[in-house]
Amino acid sequence: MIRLRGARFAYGAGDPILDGVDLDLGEGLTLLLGPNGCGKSTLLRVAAGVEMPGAGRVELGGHDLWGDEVAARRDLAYVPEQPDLTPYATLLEILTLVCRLRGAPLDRAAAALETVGLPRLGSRSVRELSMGQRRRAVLAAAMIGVPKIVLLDEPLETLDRAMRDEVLAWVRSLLAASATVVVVTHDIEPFAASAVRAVTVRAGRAVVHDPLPADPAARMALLEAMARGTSAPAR
Amino acid sequence: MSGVGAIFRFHLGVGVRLASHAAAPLVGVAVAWVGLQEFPGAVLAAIAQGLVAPGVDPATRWIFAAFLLALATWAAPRVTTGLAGWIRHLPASGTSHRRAALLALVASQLPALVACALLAAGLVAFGQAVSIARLAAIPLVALGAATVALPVRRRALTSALGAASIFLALSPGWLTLGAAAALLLAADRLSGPLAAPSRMRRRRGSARRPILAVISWRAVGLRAVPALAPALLVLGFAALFLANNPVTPAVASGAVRFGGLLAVAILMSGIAAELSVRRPVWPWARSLPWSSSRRVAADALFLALPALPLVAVAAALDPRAAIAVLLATPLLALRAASALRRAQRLRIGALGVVLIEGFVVAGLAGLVPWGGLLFAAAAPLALRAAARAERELPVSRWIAIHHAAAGDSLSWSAK
Repeated sequence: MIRLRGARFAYGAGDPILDGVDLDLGEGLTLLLGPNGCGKSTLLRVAAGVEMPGAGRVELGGHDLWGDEVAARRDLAYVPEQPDLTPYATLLEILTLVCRLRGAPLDRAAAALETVGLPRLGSRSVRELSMGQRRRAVLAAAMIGVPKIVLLDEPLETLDRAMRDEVLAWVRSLLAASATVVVVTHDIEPFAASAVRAVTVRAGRAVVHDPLPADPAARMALLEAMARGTSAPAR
Repeated sequence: MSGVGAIFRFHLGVGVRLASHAAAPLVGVAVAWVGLQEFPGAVLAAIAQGLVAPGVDPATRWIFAAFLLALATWAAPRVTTGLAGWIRHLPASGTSHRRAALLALVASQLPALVACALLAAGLVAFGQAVSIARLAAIPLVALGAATVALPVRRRALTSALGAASIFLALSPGWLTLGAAAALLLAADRLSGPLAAPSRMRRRRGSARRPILAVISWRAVGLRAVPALAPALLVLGFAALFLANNPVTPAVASGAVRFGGLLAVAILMSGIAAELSVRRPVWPWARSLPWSSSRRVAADALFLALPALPLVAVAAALDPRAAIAVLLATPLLALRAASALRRAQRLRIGALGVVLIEGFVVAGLAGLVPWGGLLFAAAAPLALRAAARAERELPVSRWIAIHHAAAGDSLSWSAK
């Protein structure tokens, strides 16, 4: 369970991107939709504990994200859109760190690299990798262990079709294991059928549609409207 | 292994890797310098005594501390890049990340620390006295240097505490060592979390500003100030040399030319190192209606302007020598701008290139009174060479020779 209460966040002294967000996200797939710049990725970064809210509270699994830092992040996996990894660490060092922190066997690191198609790049430092390879690396890190809260920012972007299928199958397995999965995406179709709710950010506030319409056409119309930032479902 | 242990081990690995990157050029320069001395063994013994023998002049220890600080400052942006991002979602506290980054900065100083340990062992092997207190001070100085360099929320406070701890650790006696350790503990308590990079700040009216200089200033800002300290130290040594030695005007002028240009090169190397990390050369700018010469000249101007106060200090020592320093400064700035374009292909980075070239220019200027004119005449050639380096800059930011196309969906070469 992800819970935000009065979460406020601004970059520097600028206008707040999030202005008192109250949000409860439980099990199942949540789509976080909206036009560019509305605050989707910021909301995900705040929920992932990468950005600290200026005010308010964020809880993961009942633990305060900034008061009980380690426990709150124990079951969390986050895949950012821009994988800002430590440049002088090797891929295997990063994945081994994740194995240790999540209590997974160390050989899972090599297996995860194999899964994302980077089996021979473990000894490369991050600065030697292309952006596409870095994105695969953070996907590999997310696949280690059994995370119960998974936050994915544009998880299908830049991936080839085989890798997209791999990621979608992994998301289905997470949902089957009752995980809380939040996906920021402009690519609605692959996730629309399995989503249980959708959220968008408007004027710094979260707007939640829970549950989504059961009728596929109505559901797609609603998700499309949310993705475009229009108030009424698109025709 | 506990989460804290895993984080420490990870960052230690990063620090050791950085140390290994720094070690090759440092060892090369040190071996060359010692080898060029008339009595290399005596020089090594004097350095060892200055570092760890009891009752010796503290100058060697201060220079060593400045060196450790330079290493930590060089390593800091490389260690902390990304620490405010993805890695924060892992189950480890912000305090663990900060302390582990501090450890990485200490580890990045390993080449100097290992050299110091070897020199101390050499002293012991030759039956000379070693001060245990001075030996114990070395790790504290390394930790102090790391504390000064680490970007944290209360940076001004921790830098002051770190600098004071270095000062105390270098002072004789166990009591001052204890005080230094106490200050480092206080810095740890008061530092706050690692500083997050500033993003998306609103700027107004930037259309009328020289945009390349504005971007460079945002990237470097006051981070160039630490590079001013060793530069002023060099000019200070030149002033001491003139004050304490009865030299002819020609030798005095040569000393100021050498010291002045070396100081300028040190300052430029520090700024170039910051630029290469925080504002790497921007191949996309090639698509804009600017010439490569203009882009290079903008960087050279940005590197040269902060050096003007150093020229003023040189002028206070010897006005005629300062003219030579001023004439050679554009050449150094253009070479530094060129080094920024070549940095990612060179193991020693922009800092190493600028320092080596600056040392050569300063040495020639010190020996040849009219060298300034020669260097001024060479500036247009340097501009052409730098513009060529700009045009030939690889667009890819990763090291192409190591890049494997396999597994990269964005790579055309995989097909």
